[in-house]
Amino acid sequence: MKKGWKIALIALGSLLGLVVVAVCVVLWLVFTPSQLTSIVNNMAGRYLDCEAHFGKVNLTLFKTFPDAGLAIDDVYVVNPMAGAGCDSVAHVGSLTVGVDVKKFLKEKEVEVHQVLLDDVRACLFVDADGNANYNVFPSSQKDKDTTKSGFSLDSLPAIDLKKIKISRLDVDYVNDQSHLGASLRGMGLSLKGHLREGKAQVGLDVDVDSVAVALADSLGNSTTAAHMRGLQVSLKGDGNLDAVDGRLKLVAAKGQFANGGHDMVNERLAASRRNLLEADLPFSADLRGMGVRLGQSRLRLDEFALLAEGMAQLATESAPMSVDLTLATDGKWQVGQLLDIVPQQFVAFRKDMDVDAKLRLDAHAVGTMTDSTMPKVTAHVEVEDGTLRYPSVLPYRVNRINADLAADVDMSSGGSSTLAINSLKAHASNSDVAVSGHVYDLLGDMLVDARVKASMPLADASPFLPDSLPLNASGTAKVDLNANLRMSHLQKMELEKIKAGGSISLTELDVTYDSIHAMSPQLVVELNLPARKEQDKMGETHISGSSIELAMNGVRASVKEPDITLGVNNITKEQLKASFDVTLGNTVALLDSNSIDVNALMLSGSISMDSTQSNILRKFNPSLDIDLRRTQVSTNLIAENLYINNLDFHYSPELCDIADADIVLGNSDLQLYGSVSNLEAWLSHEAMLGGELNLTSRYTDVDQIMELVSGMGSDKDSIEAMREEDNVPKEANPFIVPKDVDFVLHTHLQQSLAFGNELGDVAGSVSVKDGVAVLDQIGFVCKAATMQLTALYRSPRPNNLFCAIDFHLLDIQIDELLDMIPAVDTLVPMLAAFDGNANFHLAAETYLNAFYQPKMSTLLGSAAISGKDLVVMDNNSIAQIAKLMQFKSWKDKDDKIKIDSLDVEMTCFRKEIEVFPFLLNIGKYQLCASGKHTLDNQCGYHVELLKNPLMAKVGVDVTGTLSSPKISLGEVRYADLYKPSKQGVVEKETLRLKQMIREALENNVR
Amino acid sequence: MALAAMAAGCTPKESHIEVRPSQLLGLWQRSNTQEYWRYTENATGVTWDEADDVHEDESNLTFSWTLDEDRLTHVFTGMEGNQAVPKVYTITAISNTSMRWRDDYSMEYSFTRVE
Repeated sequence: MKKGWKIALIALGSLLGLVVVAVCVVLWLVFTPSQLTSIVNNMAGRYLDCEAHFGKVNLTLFKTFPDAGLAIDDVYVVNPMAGAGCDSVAHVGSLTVGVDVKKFLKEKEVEVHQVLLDDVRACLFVDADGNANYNVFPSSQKDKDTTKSGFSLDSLPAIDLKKIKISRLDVDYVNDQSHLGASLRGMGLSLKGHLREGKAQVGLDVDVDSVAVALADSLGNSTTAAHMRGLQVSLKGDGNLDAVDGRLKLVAAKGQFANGGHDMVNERLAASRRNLLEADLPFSADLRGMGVRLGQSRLRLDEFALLAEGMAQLATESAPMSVDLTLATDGKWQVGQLLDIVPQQFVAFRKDMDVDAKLRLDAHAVGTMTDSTMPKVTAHVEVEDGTLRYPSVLPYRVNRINADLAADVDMSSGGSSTLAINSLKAHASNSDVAVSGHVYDLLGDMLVDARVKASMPLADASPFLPDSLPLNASGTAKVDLNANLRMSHLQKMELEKIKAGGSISLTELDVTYDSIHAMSPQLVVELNLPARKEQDKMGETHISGSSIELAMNGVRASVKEPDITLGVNNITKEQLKASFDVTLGNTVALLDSNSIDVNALMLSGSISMDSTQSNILRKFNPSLDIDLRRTQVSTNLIAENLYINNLDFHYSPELCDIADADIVLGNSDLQLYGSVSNLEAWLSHEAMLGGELNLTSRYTDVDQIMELVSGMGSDKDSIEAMREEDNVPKEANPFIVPKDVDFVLHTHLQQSLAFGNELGDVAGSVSVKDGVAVLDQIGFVCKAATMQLTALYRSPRPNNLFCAIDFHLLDIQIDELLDMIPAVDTLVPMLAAFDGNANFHLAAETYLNAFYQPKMSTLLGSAAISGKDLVVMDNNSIAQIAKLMQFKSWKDKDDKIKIDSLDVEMTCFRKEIEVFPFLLNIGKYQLCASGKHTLDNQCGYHVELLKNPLMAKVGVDVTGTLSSPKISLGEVRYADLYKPSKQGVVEKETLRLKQMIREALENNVR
Repeated sequence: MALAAMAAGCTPKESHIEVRPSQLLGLWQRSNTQEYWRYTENATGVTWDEADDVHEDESNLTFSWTLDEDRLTHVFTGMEGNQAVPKVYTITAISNTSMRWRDDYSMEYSFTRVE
């Protein structure tokens, strides 16, 4: 049985094969290639408006199986046009069309299942008028427009393309109208698909060896050119015009693109082993509605992949274009490598900059695009391990850049954009900086609300400073600052509109600015803008710390536990102008071994800096109000302690106005008010330091103060040189009158000590002007008398001090005077012989040596003594004179010798004291006395009896030494002195000289 | 005794020498000292003593002088000009190289010309 079936089947198969062979033979015999070729060539004329040639047409079954196929070799379409590169529009080496045989046989419909083209070359050309050489179809074929309204896939017949394949397609395209040229080489295309009931399913794969496109301007200059190689496109789609789902994949292995003369694919990118471009775009599209939704898509340029997902809707009549798109880097991008493949023209900033980081970006754009609206973009950026080297701007390489940024960008009209700096950290040299905060109005006048924290050695800041700025700083600063400011305010330096605050902690601070050197182991600077405590101020600074060491112009200061509040009113950009309030409390300042212990200092004022000036006052132009309380000053400049109970003064460049000063200096308490002028010019040695001060005091130690201010205003070195030149002993410490000073001091001293004498109620003026000190009519009271003193003192040389006095003693008690001023006894030795009150007027001048000892060769003096009702003290000399003159009953009943009046003029010249003749009326006797003695005790006096009961004229000479005088009778000299009718020339001259001495003295009395 | 005294009052006066002002002009140094006196034509002058470390330009002892026969009167006004200190001497001898004074109390002063 089986064998029978087997044989039967073999026979049936052989029969069928025979039938097929027979059909083929019949077809071959009926539709011979020559006949088919003739048929096709004839039919071509009906479908083409140009010359066409079909070389050989064959029927085929195997090539298109199971469809019946028509294979055509060497198809030429020829349409010559002027300007075209070739006459042939196209040449197809082989064209095969497969048709569904069953459908043809059953339904008499021709359904093409396969189209196979091989070895295709096309030469397409459009001339400047828009005439194309490929426009070869009759007009009825041209007018089909699938985009016109109402078109639907439903209207198309069912299509079942099982295979459309093009192999080795080369195309050249030239469009003179749009100045476009293109070429396609080695293209292979494979298309499968079908259309049924309005739904299409398409699968397309394209491989292109190379494709080039060039666009030129009207002059033929290339504007845009692209050349892609190894292009692969794969498109799959399923749906209709309203909804199609698909996936587009694209790979471009290599390529070049130039626009505007610039290469968009640089050498680095061109040399990459990776594919130049890859895209994988799953999509759903509404072709009719012009909307597309991307699935999880991936775009990759070289090694940088971007993930995208979302939708885009092109503008329609009813709605504007809109997007809702999410983009994200696929992993972290290496910024340096990314910038390496960016065309040079876009990264010109990299010429002297080296930047790198790992970057992650997530962004979401959503919104419509109209004239006034743009999609809102939200982006999140993460930067990791960033580095930046930018030598022309930053002296250091910045590394460890890590940032977490979020931005909301709304580029619509009136939109607001914000950048959130979640964190931004960087490290440079030895500094670390961290920033967080927000930047509002990012695309307009930015409002920054940020916090900056930094830790940095101050030396790191030095390279940022101008070379001309004489500033060096070391130490470490820890900064914690908040700021809320608009960039426009910062640019205009409208500091009053800026809010900022925070602190800067400085450790091991060592700053040198010009001649100012400051050091502090620890210092905290707190800033507030605007001020919090002093609300009328623009800003304030509070400085506190353990100590500050200062050095300026050779002066060093150490401030312990400073607590400084500085309020600032205004700082302009053009010039540093600042006004401020400073409050210092419990501050101790040390200047070498000197110290200032301030209990409270309130300082307000302003400065205006002019760095071109060397004079420190002119450099800062200060205007100050200073209120200093309870301050102890101990300084080498002043040997005694200085305690300032209160000092309130205003300083301006023109005037220093002391409103009130309550000072204890050594043994003296001083209350001062007045003004000091020319301080600024005085420091520049352009003018004398002027001043007019009023001084009151309960007790003043004048001797001590003179010692304190000795030499002030003179250069110490020059004084030392003068001392050495003058051979001044070290023990001597003469008072050197300050130079370059013009001071007037109006004094009222209740009690004082001057030259060892206790004086009371001293009132008058003391002036010091350019090395000359003058006591002008100083009135005072001592136990001996009421006195008025005018004195002048100069110190041209330490060993040649000039002193002049004019001394009035009114109603003086003679013994007290001699006790107070022993020198008077030396000058007027006979004064010791009198008792009672007298008026004494003395003018004298002399040079002094460094020990204040008079240089007797320069002594010049004159004196006048007048008294009434004096008592002559009894002594041996007077007794001897009285005996020689045979006085009798010349004493009063109380045994005292009384004289009615006494008027004596005397002079002092060098060592000589000369007493000019004067009268003494003692009871019934009248005497005239005169003479001279020397300071080395030699004397030559003459006493003459002018009136006596006996009318005898007796002269007595006193010679020898004052301590042991020799008294003897002498010649009569003055018998006619006081008798005008008998006066000779000598007598008249003697009286004239007496009068001259007295008048000169009286002229000094004001 | 009183008569003796009266007799003494009748002692004849000394004779005077003739002195011309021009004879005074110039610089004189007091004998055995460093004390100098300079007389100038406008009847002024100055004196100083270098033993006291004072030099001519520093001296405060400027004066005006008059000569009445042999009686030479100096009036010192001082550096401050607020004094009138007369010093009167009688010239007892004068030559081109030397000069002698005596005051009213018989003290003698001798000088030699320097200039």
